[in-house]
Amino acid sequence: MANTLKIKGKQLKLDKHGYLLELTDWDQVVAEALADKEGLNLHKKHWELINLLRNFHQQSGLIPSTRVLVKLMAKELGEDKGKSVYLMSLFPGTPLKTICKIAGLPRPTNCV
Amino acid sequence: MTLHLINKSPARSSALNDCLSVLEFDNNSASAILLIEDAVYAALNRSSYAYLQEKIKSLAIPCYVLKEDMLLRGLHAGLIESFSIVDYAGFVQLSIDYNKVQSWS
Amino acid sequence: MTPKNILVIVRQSPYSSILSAATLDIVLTAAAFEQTLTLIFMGEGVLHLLSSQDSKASGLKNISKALPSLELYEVDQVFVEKDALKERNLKTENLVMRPDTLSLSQIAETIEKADQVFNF
Repeated sequence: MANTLKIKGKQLKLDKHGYLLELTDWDQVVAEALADKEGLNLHKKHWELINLLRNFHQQSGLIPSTRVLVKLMAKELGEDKGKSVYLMSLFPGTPLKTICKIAGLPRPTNCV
Repeated sequence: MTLHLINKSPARSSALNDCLSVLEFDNNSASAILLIEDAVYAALNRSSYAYLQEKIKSLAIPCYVLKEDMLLRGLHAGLIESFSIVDYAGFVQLSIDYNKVQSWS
Repeated sequence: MTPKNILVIVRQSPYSSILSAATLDIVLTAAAFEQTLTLIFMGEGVLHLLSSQDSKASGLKNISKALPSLELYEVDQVFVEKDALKERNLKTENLVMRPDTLSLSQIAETIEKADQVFNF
């Protein structure tokens, strides 16, 4: 049985790591459900980063490394938010993997 | 009455040049050329392709460029010589209109 | 490990093979390992930089979208061959980014100075 996320009467397909298989399935409600599975409640600050990451992916086609994401945060949101501790505080554990999952993007495959 | 299909850039292949050489000796002038994939770069307005473009003009046969492959590569009317642009549907229509399709690559 | 001067030269058009995607991977990986990277688009390679490439109808990956983000990856040494632009009637306004231009003699010099050259 494939991994799925039941939402609004639909079964969205997930890969074995819990990432959305169809990136177009993503919306805010889906993001909240994915966050819930990670034990996170999404607040304004989470959304700010999720939108930043999604815009970056849409424009560049790239999934950033953690370091590049932090640089992007510094550039777009200001130096005070451009810190890995800030990212860690919002998405604890392995932040990049978690935020990509919630943002409906593919699983980051690079180790750096 | 043949549609000659070219899919390689003149920068990497002699396909277009060879095709044009043959067409020069083709007494049945009802043929046409369609540039697809990397061959759409042949329409670039660049000096080293001028002789190819001149050859096409002097043969006075229709030369088409596939729109989707142009857009993919960021080519637009301002950058290319005055060729006719066709889309996928036009490609299908051309292959019906001509007796046969000859690929050069 | 002392960082090396790595030079990547792109000489092929963007959609003729999977080389473009592989090249981008090399560049981003080398950058992640904090190597000093220089990227030069020469010959047909300058066609990578053409703006308004639209891959929607083809389903292929549009590499040009990634190029303006290279700066975030600390790949800020991006150059384009001057004559290759000129010969194709292209100006830097036609490009997705505004790299500095290099003459062929400057490219020769850059190759001499590099510790490692990847030439695609």
